[in-house]
Amino acid sequence: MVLIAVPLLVAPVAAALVSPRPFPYAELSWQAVGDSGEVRIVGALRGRPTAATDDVTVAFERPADLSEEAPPRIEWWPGSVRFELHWHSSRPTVQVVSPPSVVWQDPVGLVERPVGGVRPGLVVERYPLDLLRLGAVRLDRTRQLPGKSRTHHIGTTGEFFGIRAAAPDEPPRRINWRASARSGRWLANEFEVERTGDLILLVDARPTALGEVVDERFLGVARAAATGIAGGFLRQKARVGYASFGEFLDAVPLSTGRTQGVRIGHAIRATRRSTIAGPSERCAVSLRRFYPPDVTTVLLSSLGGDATCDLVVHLWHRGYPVIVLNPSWRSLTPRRATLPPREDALATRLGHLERRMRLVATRTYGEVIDWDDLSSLGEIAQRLQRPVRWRV
Amino acid sequence: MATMRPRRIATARVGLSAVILVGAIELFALTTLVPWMLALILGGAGASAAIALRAISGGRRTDGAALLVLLVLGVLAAGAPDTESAGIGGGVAVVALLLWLADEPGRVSDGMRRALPTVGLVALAFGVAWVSAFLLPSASVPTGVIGALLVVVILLAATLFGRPELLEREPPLTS
Repeated sequence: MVLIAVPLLVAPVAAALVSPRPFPYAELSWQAVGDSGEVRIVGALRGRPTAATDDVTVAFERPADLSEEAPPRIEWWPGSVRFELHWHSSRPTVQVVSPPSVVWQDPVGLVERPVGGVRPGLVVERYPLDLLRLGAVRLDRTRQLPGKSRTHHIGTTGEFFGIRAAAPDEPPRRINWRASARSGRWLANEFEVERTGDLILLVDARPTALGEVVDERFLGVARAAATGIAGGFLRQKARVGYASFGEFLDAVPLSTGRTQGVRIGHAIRATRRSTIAGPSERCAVSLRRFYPPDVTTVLLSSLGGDATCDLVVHLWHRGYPVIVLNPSWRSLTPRRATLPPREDALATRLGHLERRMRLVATRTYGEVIDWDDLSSLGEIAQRLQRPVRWRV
Repeated sequence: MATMRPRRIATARVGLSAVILVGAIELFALTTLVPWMLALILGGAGASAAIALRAISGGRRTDGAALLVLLVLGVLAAGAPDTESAGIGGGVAVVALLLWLADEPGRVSDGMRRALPTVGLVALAFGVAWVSAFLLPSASVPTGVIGALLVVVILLAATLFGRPELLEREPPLTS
C-alpha cells in the first residue's frame, strides 16, 4: 500500500512551505528582580510576524549556582511571549544568565527554525550583606614607586606619595617640573590622601577536582566578592586591578576611578570556568607583565586541586604578598540526595579535612581566609587593614 | 475595544483530535484484508496507547507516540489491498495523525486550526495521488504517487521562484 506513504512524504515539505514569511524575529527584554536570595526574572519576547509567536518555544538555561523555586511560567500573548522564572540564590553571586534559546516550530512539529533577534544576556547580582563596611578599609601602600621618599612637605592633598605620569589635564601645581625635565615626559606628584594603596584581585577560574557544579558556584561567589571588594576600594581611590586565570591570564591593569570600575565589572562578568587548566607558573609569570611586584594580591580560589595550591607558591616566588580568600566547600557543595545520611556526613567530614589540609599547606606562603560565612566580607576587611606580613 | 488575554494552553484532556485519530484508524482497519476483529483491536489499542502515552507525559513523549501510531499504520497497510476505499482510508488516517500531532498538550491551544494550511496541502497532494491512482483511465498506484509528487514539486518550484529570499538570505550588495 504505497499510497499511504504520500502524505507522510509530503508533510515535511508542506510544513516548510507554509512556515511564516519573513523568518520569525523576536526581541527580548528581561530583568532580574527580587531581594535577598530571591531571583525572579521577568521578561517578554516580542515577535514578528505576530501570528508566529503562538508556535514559538522558549527554553531557559539555569546557571548551576541558582536553584529553581518553581517551574517557569510562560504565557503566550498575541504578538509576544511573557515569562517569569522563580530562581533562588542561597549565597552571594554574580551570574550571567544566557539568553534563552527561541525556536519556531510548526504546529505539527515537523519543521523547526531558530528565531532571529537581539537577545542580550542578563546579569544577576546578589552581593554580600556587609559590603559597605569595606569603605572603612584603607590599604597599606604596597607599591614602591621610583623617587618615593618621605618628606615633610605637605601637598594640597596630603603627604607626598610618589611620582606618576601626568594626565593631559593635570594642573600645573601638581606637575613635578624637575622630574619632568629629567625624564623628558610630563610627570606629576601624587599625594597620600589620593590613594590608599594598590590591590590586585585574582580569580582562579581553572577546573578543579570538585566538579563543574561546585566550580560554577565558586565562580559565582568569587565574582560577587570581587565586585564588592573592587567597588569598595575604588571608592577609596585605591588603584585596583583584576585578573582571572583559566588557561591563560586575562587582566585589567591597575587603575582607579569610575571607568576602572566599569572595566573591572565587564572583566568579572566575562570570567568563565575554563575547560583547560593552565600551569600555575604561567599565571605568576603573566601577572608580572601587568602588575609590579609587592602589590597586595587577593587570590579567590577554591583550593580544589593541587594546581590551585601551587599557584600561591608561584605568586609568592614572584614577589606578590597573597591573601587567599577561600569559600567554604560545604556551602558550595550540592546536597547528595543519593547518599544515606551517615555516608553523607562522612563525605562532608572528609571534604572538610581535605580542605583544612590545603589551607594549612597554603598558609606557609600567604595569608588564608577561611571564608565560611559567605554573607559577610568582614574578615577580609579586617585582614586588609593590617599590612601583609611576609613569611619565609 | 477587545481586551488582551493570554492564549489558552492545550491540555491533555483536549480530545477531539484523539477521537478523529481513533476513528480514522479504525476506518482504515476495516478496509484492510486483516480479519476485522483483529484489525479493530490492533488499530484501537495502538492509537489508544499512543494517546495515553502523550497525555501522561504531557507532550514530552510525542515522538514515541507518533512512532507507535506509524507502526500500527504500517502493519495495517501491509495487509491493505490496492482498492479505492483502502487508499482513501489510509490517507485519511495519516491526515488525522497530523491533526492529532498539531494538538499537542503544553503548547498554545487551537493547534489544529493553525496546522490547517499544512494539513490542507498534504490532503491536496494525497487527493491528487488518489485520483491519479484510481479514477484516471491509466490508473495505477505508482502513477498516483508520481502524480502527487509532481504536484508538490511544482508547488515548491512556484513558491521558490516567487520568493527568492527563501534561498538567498543575504541582502543584495546593491541595495
